[in-house]
Amino acid sequence: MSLEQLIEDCKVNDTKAQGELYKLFSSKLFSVCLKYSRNYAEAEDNLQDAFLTIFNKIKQYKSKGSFEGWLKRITINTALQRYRSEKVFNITNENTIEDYEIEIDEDSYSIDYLLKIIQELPDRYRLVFNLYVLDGYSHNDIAGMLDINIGTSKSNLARARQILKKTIENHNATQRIQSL
Amino acid sequence: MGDKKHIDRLFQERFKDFEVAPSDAVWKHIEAQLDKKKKKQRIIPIWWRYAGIAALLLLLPTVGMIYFNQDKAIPENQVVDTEEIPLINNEDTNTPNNFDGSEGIANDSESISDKEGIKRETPLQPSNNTTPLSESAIAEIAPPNNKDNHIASALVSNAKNKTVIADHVKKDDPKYTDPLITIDKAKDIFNKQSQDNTGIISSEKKDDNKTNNKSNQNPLTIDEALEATKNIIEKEEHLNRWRIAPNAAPVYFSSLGEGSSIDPQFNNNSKSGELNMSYGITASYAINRKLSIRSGVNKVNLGYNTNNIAVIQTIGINANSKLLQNVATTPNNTLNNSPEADMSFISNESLSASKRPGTLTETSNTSINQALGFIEVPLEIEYALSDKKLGVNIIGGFSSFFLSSNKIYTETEGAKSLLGEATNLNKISYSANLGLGLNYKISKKIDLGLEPMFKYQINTFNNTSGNFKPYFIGVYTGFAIKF
Repeated sequence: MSLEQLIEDCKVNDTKAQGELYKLFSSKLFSVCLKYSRNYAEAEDNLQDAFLTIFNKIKQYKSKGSFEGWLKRITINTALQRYRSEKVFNITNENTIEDYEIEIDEDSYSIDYLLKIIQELPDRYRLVFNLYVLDGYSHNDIAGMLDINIGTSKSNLARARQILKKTIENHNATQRIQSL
Repeated sequence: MGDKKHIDRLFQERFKDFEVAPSDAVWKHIEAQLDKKKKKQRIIPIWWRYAGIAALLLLLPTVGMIYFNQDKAIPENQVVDTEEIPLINNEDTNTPNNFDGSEGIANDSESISDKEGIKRETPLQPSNNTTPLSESAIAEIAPPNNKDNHIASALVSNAKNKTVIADHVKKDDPKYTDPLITIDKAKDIFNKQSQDNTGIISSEKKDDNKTNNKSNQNPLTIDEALEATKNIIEKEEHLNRWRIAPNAAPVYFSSLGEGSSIDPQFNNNSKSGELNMSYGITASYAINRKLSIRSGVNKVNLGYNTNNIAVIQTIGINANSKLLQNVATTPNNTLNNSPEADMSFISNESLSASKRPGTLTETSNTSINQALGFIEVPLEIEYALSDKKLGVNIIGGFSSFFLSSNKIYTETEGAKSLLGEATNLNKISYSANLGLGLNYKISKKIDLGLEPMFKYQINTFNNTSGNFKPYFIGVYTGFAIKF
């Protein structure tokens, strides 16, 4: 069955088609959820909410642009909705932009580890880092999506990078100590 | 130690093909939520919509009746007035006093009772009863009956519908005219008396006397009259409250949107509805003259054809296209003397020459016929726009359908063979009904009815593809027996 037909069937709430669609895209979208969520459980909640929104809104999908892109946007928005409201109370001045190149040692970090440290980021930093670095949104887009100004988006990103770098370096240090 | 790398690049590279399968529990949750939503969306709104329609149907007549009653109140007065005028004229020429008196009483009695008909009638009679002679004359003609006639005639002239009462009046017609004669007689006598008694005082006295007389009589007559009207009204309403109507209808089944209840590949195939029969019995109960509620039982057969299907004999190949999505084939039946399992049904619409497998033998020009049978239980409200000899009603409501037969046939060049049954039919489904009822009153007991109805089916199929929105149209005819 073609994707178009599957979408058409989902539009009329065909349960079988909905199951098919889920099978096709759940892995991809779950990875999105994992990146944007604090932990595995919340990622599952997000995935569930995202799919419910997808099935609810699939009638509005007009075959323009990639269907996968559409699904991903809904999934990201679902995650954003969950964490957008939970404001980050920052002690650090958000306007200090320290966006110098942050470089770290190339090492084989496991994806699980990288995911873990992303999830451990404060909500806003995690969202901005994901949106900008992993999903290619501009600061302009992010500012609109998170209802913050562009400067805040930039400084959030810089803070996120710093935290990640620090975490990785600490991790390396502890590993080195352990290996000694 | 590797090379230094920008942190963004590190993450981008590692997450490029990142995919994780979620646990099965997630889909179960989603499925449960979807189910819940479907039930919510389907069942509750259906009944809410019905409730809405029912409420609207109830509200319209109520509003209509208020208007109707207001309109009716005025003509009633007018009719009785004209009846009164000739009498008054008679009196007027002879004795102004008498006229005054009767009018005064008329006003009095107006405040006593609501019933216009009675109101005006009762004073008329007493005004004739002022002399013993005329009193006895009226008594001879059995006053209660007489009053009945008066009131009945008044009601008949207003409501103009109950033939039984009309008969009643006709029967007593000679009697009915009698009082008028005696009235004249009485007037003559009274004239003489009033001529004798010259002067305003004496006439006033007489007025007093008259009013006394009348006030003695009035309570009686009003009570009697009220009771009489009550009886009449009861009789009237008892007459037509119930109707039983056996009916039969040709029904035509079709779909509003494009789509297929059988398989998605047939969404664009041409479909033709079938003409079938529905027959049953309806009982209706009149809440009032305008509004009645009705229910019944109907056996409905519906069917339609999906045309332009290619039947391909697949021998052990192409397993995917073999089965139709919503059809469970009956295992032991045969089609063209070959096992059914070897048949594939493909929409000719989607079958291009290049796709057509050359090795397969093909029989074309096949249509798939879906035949459905239901037991229908309607619940409808009938609102009368007109209740003359030819009555016009608006009918609205809904029906519950209980699936009784479910067959799918294939039809190739006239040969029809059973393929199986649909798996996507709900045991219970509904329809929203709207129609126009015409009934011709053959007699007071029997109506001939003709009702074109449109029934939009809801929840008939649980898994249709495309935009399949079934409905059917039926023209219900039958005789209704009223009692």
